[in-house]
Amino acid sequence: MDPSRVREPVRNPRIWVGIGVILLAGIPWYLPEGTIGPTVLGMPLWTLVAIGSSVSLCAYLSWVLTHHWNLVEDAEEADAAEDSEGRC
Amino acid sequence: MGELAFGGAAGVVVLVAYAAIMLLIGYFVGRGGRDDLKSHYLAGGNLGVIVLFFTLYATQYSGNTVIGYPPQAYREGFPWWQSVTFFTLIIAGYLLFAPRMYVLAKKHSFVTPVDWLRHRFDSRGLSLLATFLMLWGLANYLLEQLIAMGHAIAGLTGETVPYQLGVLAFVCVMLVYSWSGGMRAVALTDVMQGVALLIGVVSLLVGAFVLTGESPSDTARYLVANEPEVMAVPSLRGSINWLSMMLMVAIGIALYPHAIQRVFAARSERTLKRSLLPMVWMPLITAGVVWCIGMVGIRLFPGLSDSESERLVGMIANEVAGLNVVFYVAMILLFGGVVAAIVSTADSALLSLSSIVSRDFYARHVRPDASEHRQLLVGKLVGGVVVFGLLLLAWNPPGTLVNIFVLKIELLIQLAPAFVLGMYWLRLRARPVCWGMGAGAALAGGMTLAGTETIYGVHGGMAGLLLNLVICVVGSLLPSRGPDDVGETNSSARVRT
Repeated sequence: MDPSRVREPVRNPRIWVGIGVILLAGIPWYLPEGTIGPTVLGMPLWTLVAIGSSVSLCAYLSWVLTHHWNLVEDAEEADAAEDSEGRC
Repeated sequence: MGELAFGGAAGVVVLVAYAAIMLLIGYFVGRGGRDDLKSHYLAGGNLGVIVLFFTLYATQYSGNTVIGYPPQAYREGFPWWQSVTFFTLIIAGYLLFAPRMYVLAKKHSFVTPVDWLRHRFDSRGLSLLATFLMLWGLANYLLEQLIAMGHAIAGLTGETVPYQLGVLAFVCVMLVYSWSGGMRAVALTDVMQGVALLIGVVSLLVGAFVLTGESPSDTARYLVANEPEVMAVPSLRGSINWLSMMLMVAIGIALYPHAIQRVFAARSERTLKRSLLPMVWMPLITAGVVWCIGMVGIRLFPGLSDSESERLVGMIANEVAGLNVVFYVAMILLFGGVVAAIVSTADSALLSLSSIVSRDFYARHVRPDASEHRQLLVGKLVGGVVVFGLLLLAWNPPGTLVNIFVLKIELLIQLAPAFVLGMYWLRLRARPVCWGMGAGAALAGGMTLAGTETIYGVHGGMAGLLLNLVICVVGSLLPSRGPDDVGETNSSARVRT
């Protein structure tokens, strides 16, 4: 298998920094206790930031799963294709 | 949960129908099945995308998510949104070890998580300690499900079916289909249970908004104006607790033995990735929806005490069922789905427990020459005995030391250094891992027993994990003193591609 195509999330520190940043952005540690603040569509802004962080985490992890995990997939799929050709 | 006005005879019919479907699945899957450990406990390592997705879903979300989380949102307010993030973060927990673990499991035919520890560390002490922690965590998890199952059945049937009889009947159904069909039956029943639960919670949320007669924005405005404390920023300690909870759940749930076994059971790497992909988004439509139900509950039933709030889902469902016949049917399906979801979570834990007992305890330490058929038999029998023992415990809870029966994630998270660090850092040695695991579990367990849930917002499980990590790292960096401390010598954790 082409080594340049091998991808493993744990080998890429930037992935984990990204997860950390998204998590910390979703927790209101940076605001004083009891703040409600400006509201948008009835919701306090900080709650919308927290919801946005959760949605971003979903999107980010989807991207990681799709683009940064490939250890044996190519080899397995090639084997599976060979098997199915052999049966035909 | 309280008595449900829409339950009774209709609830009994739904429960009987669910039970019949589960038994049929067990019967058809069990016919002509192979009698070996990998076929029974891992479905032959051949689960496809859809079934693997639903069985991962059922492992992660139980009936407790539907019954227990809305009251939590009711009491804690917006900060319980953290439940959505921690369920998403579990996928990041998998990414720490699952890609390489999948490859190694296929290569070395792992059946239980302890197979990995034996392969990597070759240490009897470490394997035994990890086996004990896994069995303890699984048994407590199972106990929690059995208690929840009883309350859900009694509530749904309006006490037509008494608590004990209902649980006994469903435990027997669960044992029959999981004994006859193994992981394949467990995973297929998870599909039916997952679909029922999803339809039910979405119907409950729609019904709750119909009851308020207002838009989500109006409900939020009401909460800001009338219950500002539930929409306010928590203290710094609360924020630390929020982060600690997310990390503990993310790592702990990814390390549940039955979760790891689902990684082993995937047909291929592509299958595993494609099953985890929708799992990333499921928290928004499961935990997010039940969080919303809790917040709408504040609007519908303001001023409930903590104990009254525990019945919140039943109270909302009663009102929703009264709206019209469509919601009535949806609510019956929801509560049938809740019971089914509890059963689906319990069966996964039971199967995993049986596999660890038969392979890691019986075949290793009692009868090393036992055939796979005999190992399977012992696993099934011990699993049955454990379930009935837990049922007695659920019906007669001990007066003292009751806190040790809630320890699950706090203990299982102590496996993280052995599974994650052990996979990538070849210098990590068995003895420090064993001491670290023991010390971390003792600290987490001690804090729970002492009633000290957190240290400045940090959970006992996370404090234990920190201690565990320090012991693992420092102990592995020190010069080795014994020939039996062989962890670093096994270099096969490397993946060669």
